[in-house]
Order: sequence, then C-alpha cells, then structure tokens
Amino acid sequence: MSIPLLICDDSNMARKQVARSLPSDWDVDITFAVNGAEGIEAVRAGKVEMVFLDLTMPVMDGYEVLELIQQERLKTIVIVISGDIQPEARERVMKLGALEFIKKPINKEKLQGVLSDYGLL
Amino acid sequence: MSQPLPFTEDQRDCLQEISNVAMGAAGEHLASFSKVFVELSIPVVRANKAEDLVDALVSLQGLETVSGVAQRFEVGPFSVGGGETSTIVGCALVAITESSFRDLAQQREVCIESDADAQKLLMQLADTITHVCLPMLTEQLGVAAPVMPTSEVASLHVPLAEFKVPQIDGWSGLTTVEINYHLEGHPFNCDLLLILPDSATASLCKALDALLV
Repeated sequence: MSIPLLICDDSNMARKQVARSLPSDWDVDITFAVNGAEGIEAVRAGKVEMVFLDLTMPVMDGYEVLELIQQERLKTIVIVISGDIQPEARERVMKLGALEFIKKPINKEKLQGVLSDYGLL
Repeated sequence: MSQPLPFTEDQRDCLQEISNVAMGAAGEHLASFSKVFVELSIPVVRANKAEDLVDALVSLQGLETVSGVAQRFEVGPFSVGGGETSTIVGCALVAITESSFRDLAQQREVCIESDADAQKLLMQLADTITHVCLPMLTEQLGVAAPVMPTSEVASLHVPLAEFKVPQIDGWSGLTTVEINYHLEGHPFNCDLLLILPDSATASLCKALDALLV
C-alpha cells in the first residue's frame, strides 16, 4: 500500500525539493498543491495521511490550513517546512497542531531526521 | 512599466524561492531588532528600467514620504563555463515609509532629533536585514558570501516619486526582487529591494539552472 502524501507549497522548486527529500524506500502517492486552499481541499477529500506544508503562500497560507485542519478535526499528520524561522512562527504552528517544523531549505537529512524522531520511518 | 523577465518560469520560481528562504532568515533578525513578530510576504521578481525603479517598490506606493539606504555589493565567483568565472555587482536597497520609521524608533526606544539620528537608525535597520539576507542568498547559490561595503543613504524623507538611488547610476535594465516586511499589529512597512543590472543576468541564470538540475 502506498502512503498518500500532500506537498503544499507555492514554489515548484520547493515542492520538488520536498519530494526528493523523502525516504527513497517509501512507496508514496504524492498530491501537489500550490496554495493552502488547494491543500485543504486535498486533506478534506480524506486521502492524505501526511502533509508537508509551507507557511507563506498566496490565496490561503499555512497557518489557515492548520486552523482548518484543527477546527474540522481532519485526521492527518502535518509537518511544516518554511523559511520563516522566527521562534514564534514555530511556536504558533506547534500550537495549531503541527507535528514538527523544519527550516528551509529542506534536504534528505533534515526530513529523515524528523521522520525518524517521530517513529515514522 | 514592468518589462518582460529575462528568466524562464523555472528560473523565476527558483529566484523567488531562494529569496523567500533568505528573507525568512533576515525576518528573524528583524523580529529581534524590532521586538515584534514579522509578517512575511511572497518575494516578487520583476524586470524594470532603472528610471522606473520606484515602480518596483509596490508595497510602498501611495504612501507618505520614504527613506532608503543602499549598499552596492559584489557576489561571486560564478562559473560561466569554459573554466571562466565572473563576479556580479548588485545593490540592496532598504526603503521605509515615514510612519514606519517613527514606529521603529519607538520600538527601539531611540529619539530621532536630527538627520544624523535618522541615518544611524536607518543603517542599523538596513544592516539587520541585508547582512543576513544576502549571505543566505549566496549560500543557496553556492557562491561565497557577498562583499558588502558600508550602507549609504539613498534618499531621506522624500515623496516616493522623487526617490532616487545614486548607487545604481549608470545601470539601465534591472532585475528587482521586492521583499516586503510588515510588523504584526504595527503600521510598519519596509521593503528590501535586491537590484541586479542586466549585466548580471547571464551569470545569475547559470547559477539558478545549477540549482534546478
């Protein structure tokens, strides 16, 4: 069974960087979203086990996506991957239910470190 | 008037994304400097003629008078093929509106009684942003940290239409990256504008392509 993942970032390069950083032995089914509105639709459709979420995006930002996931009690794991490295940004997303916050630019080591820390590998 | 971009969509996206990461790193320093949470926006890449530079300060349009500090910087060496390398010169402009400036002075608890006081705070603000943003940008491009001489005032307390940046005199076509910073709950509006002359485009495109492989 492949793992359904969502990569939500307005940058094409950033989406590819996340996809390339995934463990190579994972069998994944990746959905890509270019803003939070597209992202939350994918989560609502109920087929996303894990979200890699950017914060600064047009139409709907990552904070709003987290709020909606929390309000609607949608079942998914969210890992925020953002260039906004203010400690308060991390605190805010963790309060909104994110599992972890990873500073951009993402790479294999950073992502696998987090997945390993949470027993997700 | 905005000009056609000298980049492919992938190159533009790449420049925007590495600017996004660099602005985030600088945003953390700005948050410490201003003691307020910084709201980040999405960097905007544009092509402009030098005489239309103020058009690139989109976030500051329609507002009161503006002050700005500029730093010419040198970045490189970029590989340009055939074993040859080149360096590029750019300009980092930090522009801030009058009310934002007063707000920042309050946050920093400093009294602005003269132009010299204003210049000092402007320089500190510019250094806070550029000394993090530019090295973060070059690190991602895989080149050495930029050589950055001291900032100099570009314009002080002028309407945007009269805003001038002597540091780019002699440049004609420009690529600009507009990075706007807001402070949460404050009337603070400040732009970092990265300005690159047309002569830098070829080297920059090569460096962006290397990231896109």
